[in-house]
Order: sequence, then structure tokens, then C-alpha cells
Amino acid sequence: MRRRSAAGARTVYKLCSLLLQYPDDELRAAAGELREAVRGLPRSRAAQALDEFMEWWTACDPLALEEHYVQSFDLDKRSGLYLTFYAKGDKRERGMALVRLKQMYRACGLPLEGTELPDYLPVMLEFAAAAPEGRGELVLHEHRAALELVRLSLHDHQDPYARLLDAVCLTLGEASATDLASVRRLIGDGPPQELVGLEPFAPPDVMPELEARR
Amino acid sequence: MADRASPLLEAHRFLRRGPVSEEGWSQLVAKDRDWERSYRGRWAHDKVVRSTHGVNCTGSCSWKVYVKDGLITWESQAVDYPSTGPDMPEYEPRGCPRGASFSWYTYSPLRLKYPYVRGSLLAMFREARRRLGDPVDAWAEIVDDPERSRLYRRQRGKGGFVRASWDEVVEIVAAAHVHTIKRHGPDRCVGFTPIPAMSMASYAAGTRFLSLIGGVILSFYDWYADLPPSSPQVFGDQTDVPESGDWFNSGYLIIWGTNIPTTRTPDAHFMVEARYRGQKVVVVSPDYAEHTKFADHWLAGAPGSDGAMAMAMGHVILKEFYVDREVPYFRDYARRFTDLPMLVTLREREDGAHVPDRLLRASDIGEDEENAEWKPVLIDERTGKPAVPNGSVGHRYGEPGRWNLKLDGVEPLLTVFDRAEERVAVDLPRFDEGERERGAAMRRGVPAVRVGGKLVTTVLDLLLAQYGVARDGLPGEWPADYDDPAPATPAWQEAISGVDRHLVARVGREFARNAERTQGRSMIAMGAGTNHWFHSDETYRTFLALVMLCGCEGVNGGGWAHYVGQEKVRPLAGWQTVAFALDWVRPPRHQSGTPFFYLASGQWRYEKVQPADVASALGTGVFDGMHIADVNALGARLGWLPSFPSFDRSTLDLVDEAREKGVEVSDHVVSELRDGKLGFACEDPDAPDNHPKVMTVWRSNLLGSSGKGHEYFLKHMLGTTENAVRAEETPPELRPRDVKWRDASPDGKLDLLTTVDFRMTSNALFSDVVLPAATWYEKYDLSSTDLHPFVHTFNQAVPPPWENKTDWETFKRVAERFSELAEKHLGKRSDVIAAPLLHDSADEIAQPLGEVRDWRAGECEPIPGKTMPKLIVVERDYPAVADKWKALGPLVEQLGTQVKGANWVADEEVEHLRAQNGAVRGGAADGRPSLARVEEACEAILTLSGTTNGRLATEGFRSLERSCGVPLADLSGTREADRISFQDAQIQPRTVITSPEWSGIEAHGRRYAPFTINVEREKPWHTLSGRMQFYLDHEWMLELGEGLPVYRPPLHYRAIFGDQRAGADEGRTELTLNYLTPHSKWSIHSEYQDNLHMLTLFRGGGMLWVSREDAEALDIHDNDWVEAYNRNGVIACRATVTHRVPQGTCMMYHAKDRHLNVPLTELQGKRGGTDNSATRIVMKPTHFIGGYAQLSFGFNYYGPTGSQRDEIVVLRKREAEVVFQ
Repeated sequence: MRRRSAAGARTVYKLCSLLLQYPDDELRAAAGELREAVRGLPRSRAAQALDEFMEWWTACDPLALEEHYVQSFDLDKRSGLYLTFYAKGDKRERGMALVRLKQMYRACGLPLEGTELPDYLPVMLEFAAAAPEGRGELVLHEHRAALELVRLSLHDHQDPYARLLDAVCLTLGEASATDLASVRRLIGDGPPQELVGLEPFAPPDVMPELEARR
Repeated sequence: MADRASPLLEAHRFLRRGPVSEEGWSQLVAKDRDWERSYRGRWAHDKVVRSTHGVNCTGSCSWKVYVKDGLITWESQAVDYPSTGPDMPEYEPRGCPRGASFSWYTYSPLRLKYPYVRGSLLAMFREARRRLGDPVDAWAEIVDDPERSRLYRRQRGKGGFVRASWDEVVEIVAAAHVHTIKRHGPDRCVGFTPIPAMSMASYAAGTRFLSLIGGVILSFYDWYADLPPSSPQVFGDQTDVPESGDWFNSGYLIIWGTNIPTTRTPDAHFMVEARYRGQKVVVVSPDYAEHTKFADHWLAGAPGSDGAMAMAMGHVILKEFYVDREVPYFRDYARRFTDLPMLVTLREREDGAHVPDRLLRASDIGEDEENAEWKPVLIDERTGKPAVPNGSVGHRYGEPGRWNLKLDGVEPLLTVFDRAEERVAVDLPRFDEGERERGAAMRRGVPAVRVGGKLVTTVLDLLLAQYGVARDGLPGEWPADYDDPAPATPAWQEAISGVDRHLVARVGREFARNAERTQGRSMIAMGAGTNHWFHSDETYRTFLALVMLCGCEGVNGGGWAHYVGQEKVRPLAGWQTVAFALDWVRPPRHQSGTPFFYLASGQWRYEKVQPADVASALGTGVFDGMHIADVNALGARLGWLPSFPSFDRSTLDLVDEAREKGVEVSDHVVSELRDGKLGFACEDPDAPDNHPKVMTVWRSNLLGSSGKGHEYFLKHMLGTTENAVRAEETPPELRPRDVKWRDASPDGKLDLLTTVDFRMTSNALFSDVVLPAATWYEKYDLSSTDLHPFVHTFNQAVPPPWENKTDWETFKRVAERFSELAEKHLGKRSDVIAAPLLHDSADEIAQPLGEVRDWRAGECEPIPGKTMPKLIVVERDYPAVADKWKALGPLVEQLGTQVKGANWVADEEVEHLRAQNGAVRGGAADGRPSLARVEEACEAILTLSGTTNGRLATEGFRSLERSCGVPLADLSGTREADRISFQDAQIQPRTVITSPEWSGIEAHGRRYAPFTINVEREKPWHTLSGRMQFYLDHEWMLELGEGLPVYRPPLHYRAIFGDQRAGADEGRTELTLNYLTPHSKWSIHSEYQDNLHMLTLFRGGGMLWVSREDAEALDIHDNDWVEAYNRNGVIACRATVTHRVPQGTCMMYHAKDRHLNVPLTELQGKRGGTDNSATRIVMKPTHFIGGYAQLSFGFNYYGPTGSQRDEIVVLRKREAEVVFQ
């Protein structure tokens, strides 16, 4: 039972990895194959979500679908697919977070090729589908808050792509209380900000509120 | 989790696991020390690469970029600048938080990663291409079809982008160019990219392509209104200013309209350090800005009153240092380096009073030597006789050896007061009172003598009259003392600026006294704050008068220091060779940006300010009945300034016609023009064939940043339906006299707008095609600035990620596809270029005595290069464009290099480049040095410039020695064998070599200060008199009352446009306020303004800064939503209520893109605008003057500025709900 559902999860990740990529000719040409794979999934809410998405995706006018994708993922910062941005924001730590992911892929025997960034969700999903047992979902769990944020943001726009994020999140299981708190914080404040160098530096006697803040 | 064994139960507390050696005395423990790697590796990097930021911030700071595992992780300041030597602060470290945050952008979610085309356009193109089998035919069919054409134009700015392959988008761009050239001629293809110094090769990539196809390259400096026209007017030079290190040498610094700590952050320390050395700092600024806190005195003058303050300072200086007492240093300097001793004729008016006319010439006193009409005259104090001093523009193009400032014993007489034969009443203009812009006349007097039968006085005598400095016995009305409120006393300025008269007098006095004691080390740093006004040229001339009167110009630590952008391309000669393809074809089609955009964006159709309105009360009605578009048309046909597109016919077809007829091309063009069969395109700018068709923008956010009159751009150039233009068209009685008015205004003139950028800027959002560019850490390039004397490099830390490409690669691909398509559609053609009369060439003595002669009105014959543009035929081998683009052409050796009057032949250098870059094999450029790779282009730029190649600098100085007859070659002689290679500059920023490309001496560790060569070596300025000119005697300058520096207030927009309030009927409270758009620390000069920090600093979007008083009157509280609008457009944003802004003025910082926190407007229900939605450019007729010494065209040197600062807006609190689209 457990083994079968793990295999199902890998397929969900793999399918989402593909479907979250740009719907170019090559991907659209594989629609039949993708649909077959979705139908072959064991029944689950995730499979249901994928099925619904496929229905929309295959029915779309190709050019309209491309426009839709660009609008959803290339030009909207709230639903971008580069997930370390949500955790690290525009901070110097983001570079290190990217390096860490890249090294992890390599350590697992799945080095990243080409010019794509390691925190691109389709990359993470491909990794989750292919990585050694127990390692793949780790990256997704680590970015659970970001996944939720993108998911909610897509739902806000009634974007059919939200169903893919639903599928990923359903497969991952319930989000932890900490993750949900992070989502709330991200919705409220956006990604974290660099604060280095922004501390007030006037003498303490002219900055009475400084003490209170500490 | 649940099925994993408990660590506690698994772990051993007493026994070790693992194999034991057979002997039993050793054991292998499996724990490795891998965990240490993360600590060891934390500060290890693949590589550390030097680069910089091409953001036009003027910093040009060198940075170290750290790459880890193939990813850019962070950057730090480079600290290895060459030393400034002992007793000087160093340049290192340079770099500010804006630069330190740039590495974030590389991987930012909103970075452009793929080429985009609007879906509707792509679908049409694919369909037509498939059906017709040819991309050019496909493009032609789409743009010829009104329906399809309108469809994609109306979608501009409304999303709908899809990704497309590079091959496909490059084909669209190339096909559009080929079709446009085929149908309309090459001058309908246009490119806009600014500020070459911030990334020289990237600039050159596109302009080289455009130059080879005959396309049009737009100027930016004058368009931005950053170019101070006073610099060419006074110095005959574009903008030559000291490096920031020279601030340290100054004893007295007035900071006037430039917020140094905010916008010159890495250089501000020199100003702070100089204070410890005893420098006094005076700040003139209407708002309490960041630099104000450094000031010893703060002159908080009303916006636009700067000229009045400066005149009052000049009044004090003239009175106390020229009349009451003579300062030997000032007197000597004024005689040798200024036009103050030159004689000016006085013209009698009908009422018997006189007005100053033009400079007396050698031709007026019977001298018949060469170019006598171009040689001003003075009186020799020793003999009392007129003398024609060396060094004027007439000598420059005459017999070599006399273009110098040597006086050969002549002692120029500064004033004829003691020898006056007559004391003459003169009428002079004043603009502080009288009829609106025209002002009034005031009567003063000058001493005069008769020379060659003409009544003359000196420029100094006139200046004293204009500045109201009385001398006994002169007729006219004069102020009694400093407290007399007549022009130009301290009391007079107090009424205008609101600044205490004693303070202004004191600053003027101290400025001069410091200069007297230090031999000229008083400096004025100035910038956009005083420079974007309609009359900023006159304002600047009142400043320049101060530094010239006090002998500060051409002195280290003294003079003017204008900083508005990163203007100084130090390796100028090599850069312009590569950028404008001067190695293959000359001349390029350089176009003044301002009149181009003025016509293309339809702003001319809404004009209400007439040229005659801004003439002086003493004017003779030269401009009566003219619209400023008529002035542009006149300038175009007289050869004053370029005008592309040129004719209402293809310039390729014109050549074919002439050859068919068997006549000279220029004869054909002239006869067609004369017969009225051929017209200039600018005379009918809205005709369907006469406007630009294809435009490429790179390294710039034209629509989001510099696009003054933003809404007009959207309406007329782009044809979007969302524009917010509210203005009525110019009423019939004010419409052009000569330029054709068409009732139907064409909307959506451009067939194709392409943006190359790494951000989705406003310009990109409105484009048809968007190409993803490499960032500054992903390409090789060169950087230099006014602010420091080094040339240094961009380097590729990582290759461009995703599908991004460097500008060099992008335009290479466009050129290659263009050439392939040209094979079938264009082939070889000949092209005729209508080129303007150029500054720094013999063209500039084409139209003598500053008189305007229009051949069309029969006032003279149409003679190309004399009374009209030059007509130059060039060959265009269109299929060979890519081959030529990728190699250095033969004109480098064949025609040599000309730069600012110096010239050389870089033959050895071509050989060097052939060896260094390799020679091209086969094709049109067989055997020529390769430029295919950008590093090769950078190498060529450095090798072919004097500042980076001592041999060429010295050759250039030798050529100047021949024309000047003074020794110069030693200036670069000590570095003659130095050549700074690209590799040298990659290793360390390199100090450039003194070169005739610039005017300062920087040998032996001296800081760069402009015109030190002129002062120390007696090399003339590039002006009519060869001296710095107070007096400008062109007919049109006099018509505007601007023969001399004079205070002109902002345009009276309230009177011109009347009450623009829209809410009066609804009982809304509204205020009309002056509208300023200053530069902020975090927007235009930091590319990365749309990240969270920058947005947080600006409360998430554009803000309107309002004074407490105005806010109270409108019941606006801090952070309330407000609306600011006028006839040009509508702005919806929040208010910042602040004590820093004076009552009656509001400010919106420049260049906020309109996708950031911009709601729908209350007034129109459309998306609110940018800061430029409320602006519209106005042009000054004098900026069109050409063919007259320093008042001749040069690209980004002289031309109409796009001024917008005189604007007003109506402000009100927003009542409607805030809704976003």
C-alpha cells in the first residue's frame, strides 16, 4: 500500500513538473501521453486535481495558453515559480540558498544541468520524482510555505494552474502549523527584507525608543 | 516517521561498530570529516570577477562579483583604484547600497528570461509567413492591412505576451527593418539608447547596426534636458567638468541644484573631506534636501529663481572686484580667456536709444584677411587702436598656426569708460516684470567709441549695464545701492527668490574673495535641479558668469561642475568609431532627440507656447506667426540641425531618380526642393509616409523614465487606447505657418517597437517585441565617468542565464538575419544623407554674422553645406551589413580619425588589432580585424582612443600644435608608449592619458579639471571668439534678449493655460501647484527600484510630496490618496506631507514605473500615470540655431532640450474609492 502510493506521488510530482513548464509545442504534443499518465494515477484528490487541470489545459487554444502562462508565472511576483525568493527574498542569503540546493541535487546523484535555477519548482518536482527515497520530498517540505503562497495566489485569480499546486500540496500532506504561520506572514509582509546596515546608529540618548525595542 | 527506529534504541553507548583489523590493534571508524566542508567552503568561490553597474548613476564603481558553484552569490567593492597620490583622499572604496544589492537582480523573479512577442502579432506573423513563405512579405502584409495593424497596436501595454524563440523574434525585427527600408527608406528606422559611458560596447552594438543600414540614432542628453545648452554657448564644448577628486582642491563650493550625497554617493566624501581642509560649502536648494545639512549657508530660494540670485552675486562681484577695485588676477584672466574685451556694435532704435547688436569683426574695420567675418575685434590698451587677436574661429579654419590665445603684446582693453567718445543710452531686457514671457526693457548706459565708423562698446561695459553696476556719468536708470530693488541688486533678487539680500551679497563676495586669494579655486557644482527649466540655459549662464569673472574656469579646484548623468566617454575617439561604424561609412544619421519625439509623439499638435511669446520686449518680431514646429522646419532646411526622417520620399529612391536622369544627386535634391516637388518630412510630420516606423530601445526605459509627455507617446506613437491626454489641440490661429496641419491625427505611428532589457520596464510593457538582455555581471564591456579618471571593465561572472543575451550578441543576430533577408529584398543601394552643419568642422563658419537667411524665402541660394544641409551620397551594401558589423572597416586608415579638431591616422593600431583580434576570413570584410566578439570591440575602442593609447593622444596633440602654433604634444608625451588594453583594465581600473579628446591636463597625478589646457597652453575654446563667451550675438539670441546672461523666470503656465481645475463645479477644493520631478536616490539611478526595499522606502510606489501648508488647505494628511492632473494627464498616488517642500510646490520623484501601486484615476477611470504623465516638453527657439561657430550641431552637444520643469498641476484629495485594475 505504502509503496504504491509512493510511486503515485512520484508520478504526481513528475507530471506537475512537466505541466508547470512553459506549454510549448513539444509539451502540448505530448498531451495524450500526459493524459494517459494522469488517468493511470491511483484515485486520490491529487489525481482529481490533475485530471481537472488536464481537461482545461488540453482544451485551451495554444496561443491563449501561452499568454496565460506568461501572465501567471513570468510577470507576477506573487506566483513566480522560483521558490527560494519567498523564503529569502532579495537578500544575500538567497544566493547561498540556491547554492545549497544545487549541491544537494549533486550529492543525490542528480546534478543540475543547463541554465535553469535549482529553486525553479519544476526542477524541485523533477528532483522529488527521481531522488532517493526520503530525499526528494525534503526540498518541497522545506519550501512548503512558498508552495502554499503560490497556490493561494493562483486560487485568488481563479487560475486553473492552482490545481497543479493543489495536487502537489495534497500529495505532500497537511502543512505544519509553522508553515501555515509562514504563509500568513508572507501574505502580510512579503518576502523577508535585508536589514543589515539599517539599524539606527544615532547616540542612544537621542533614540529613546531603541531601548524599548530591545 | 513512525516506522523509523528510535535513535535511542539504535545507538550504542559503550560499544563501537565497524571492522577491526586482523591484528586487533586498530579500528576503522566510518565517521568522515565531510561536515567540515560547509565551513571550509563558506567563503570559497569558483571565482571573483571584476564588474560594475551600467546605470547612469555617474558612480562607475568597480566591484568584485563572487561566483559560487556557477551562481552569483554576492558582490563587494573593489578597492584597487590607482592612488591619487599624497595629500589627497583616495577614490577607493567606491560603491553604494544600490550597487551592493545588484546581485539580487540576476535571479529576481521578475527578471526577463525569454524573448516575448505579443500573441496577436505573433499569430498574424506566423500565419502570413507560412502562407507567403517570406518574412518580409509577411510583415509588409500585416502593416499594410489597417485592420490587423490596428489590432496589435491597440493591445500595446495590455499584456498578451507569449514566449517565442530567438530565431523567430529576430526574424520579425529584421523583417520589419528590411521592409521599412525597402518601402520608405532607411531613415524611418530609429534607435534610442542613452549614456554610452555606462556600457560603451552595449551602446555601440545597436548604433553600429543602425549606422550601417542608414538608420537614425537619437540623442538623449538634450532630450533629457540634462544637457546644459549654456556649455556649448559659452565654452563651445559639450559638458566638460572636473572629476570629483578636484572638489577637494576647491576653497569655496556652491552646490546649486545637485544633491551630491544622494545622487553622487560614492564621491560625496571628497566634499566632506574638503570641509575639514577649510572649504566653505553653500547650498542653494528650495527644499531641505540631503545635501543641505553639509551647508555653512543654505539659500532656500523659490524654485526657478536661481538666475536672480546668481545675477545679484554677479552684481556684487562686478561692483566690488571690477569697478570699485581692480583685481589683477581677474583682470588678466578676463583679458586673455573671455570675450569681455571684445567690441560689440550698438544699433540705434527708432526712439534714439541703442541696443547691443553683434560683435565687431575684422571685416567691419576693413581687414580683408581670410575669414574676416569670423574674427572679433578688441582695442589694444597700449595703442588705443583696434586689434584682431589670434584664436577666433576664423583663425581656426584659416592659415594654420594662429588659432591660439597668444596676445603678442596686445593688451586688450576691458572697458572703454576712460576713452569714451560717447555715453550712449542702451535698452536692455529684463524679464522679472512686464508682459508675461516677453518681459520689459530697461534703460541703462554704456561708454562707446567709434571703430570703423561703427559705434561700439565692450562686452564688459554691456555686462555692467545688464547687471546694473553704475559708473559716474552714464545715462539711464541705475540702482543706487544694494538695497535698491532694481535689477540686479541683492534687494532685487530678494523679492524674487525670498532669500536674504545680505546673505546673497555675502556669498557672492566670499566666492570672489576666495578666488582672488587662491587664484580661482572657487567652484559651483550644479545639476538637474536648475537645469530642466525652459530658460535653464540663461540660468546657467548667470552661474558661469560668476566662475568666469573670478578666473575659476580651467583651474584645479575651480569652475563649473555640472553633473547630471554619466556623460564622459573617456575613450571617445575609439568608441565613436565603433559605435557609429565610422570605419565603414560616414556620416551616421544622428538626430536630436527632442524635436524627433516632439513630432513623433504628436506633442506639437497641442502647443500653446509660441516662439514669439518668449522673444524679448526689445525683439523685432522675427518669430511672429511661427509655431515651434516651423522653427524646427526652418532649422532643418537651413542645415542647422538634423531632421530625420529627412524627406517625404525615400532617400534611396532619390539617388535612383538622379542617376536615371543622369544628374548629380545633390543637384537633383536641390532642384526638387526648390521646385516644391520634394518636401522635408518635418514639414508634414503626420503624413503616413513621413514618420518613424520601426524603433528599437535598449539600455533605456524611455516610456517609464525619460518620456516627457508620456500620455502623448501612448496616444500618437503607440496608438494605445488608454492614454490620458486631456489637452485640446492647438487652436487654428496658433497652428504652424509652414508645417502642414492634418485634421486627422495619426495614432499609433510605430509599426514595431522593440525593447532590449533585463527588466519588464514600462517601455517593455508597451513594446511589441521584448528581448531579454544580459545583466552587468553577465557581459564584457567598458565604463567611464566624469567623476573619476579611470577606465574599467564589465566582465562576465556567469554566462547570461536562461535565454538572455548580451546586447552585442542580440544585435549581431539581428544584423545577420537582416543581411540574409536583404539579399532578396534590398541588395546594394545608394543613399543620400541630408547632414547638418557640424560643430568642430569648417561647416561652423557657413553662415556668417549670425544672420538668418532662408533660401526658401528667396533670401539666398540653396547651397548644400552652406545655406542648407550637406547632401552626402553613401553606398549601402545591405547583404554585407553583418560582415561589416563584425569587423573593423578600412576608413580608419583611409580617412583617419577626427575628434574635436584633432586628428590622427591609427594605422599601426589597425595592424595591432588585426594581430590581437584576428583577421576575418572571407566575406565583405575579408582580412579586416574582427569585432565579432564584444571583447574585441572593447579592445578596438581602447586601442583607437587617445585617452587609452598614448601614441594617438600625442599624434592628436601634434595635429593641434600645427593649427594652434603652441606646444601641446608634451602633455601626453610622458605616456606616449602607454596603451591600456582591455586586459589591463580587467586587472585594475586604469588612469586615462591626457588627450585632445578632452580639455584637462591630468599628467603627473593632477586631478582632471576642464579647460586647463586652454588656460595653461593658450589653446582657444571652440567658440566664435576662441574665448569663453559672455556675449552671444546670433540674431535669434538677441531676439530673445539673451545676448548676455539674464534672469528669466519660469514660464507663466498659469497664464498660458488658464485655470485647469476640473472640480470647481463639483465644489471640490483644489490647488494649482508648481510641479517638480527631481531625481531620487532609489529610482532612476538605481535600476533595481522595484524590489521590496526600494518600494518600502517609497511606500510602495510613486508619491507626491506636498508642503504642510498646501496639504492643510486641501485637508490632505500624510499617506492620503491624492490626484494630480493637468491637461497632459492624470496621476493617482499617495501624498507625503513634509516641511521640506515649500508652499506652492509639489514634487514627484522621477521614473516611477506605472505598474507599481497605481490605481485607476478618479478623473478618468483609467490607470493613473507616471511622473511624466503630467509633463509635456516645450522647446526654445534658440536651441535650433546652427551653422554659427559654437552654435552648430553636434550629437548630444547642441540641440533643443526637452524641458518640462516649468509645469504646473492641479492637486486634490481623492474622494473616490481606491480601485486597482
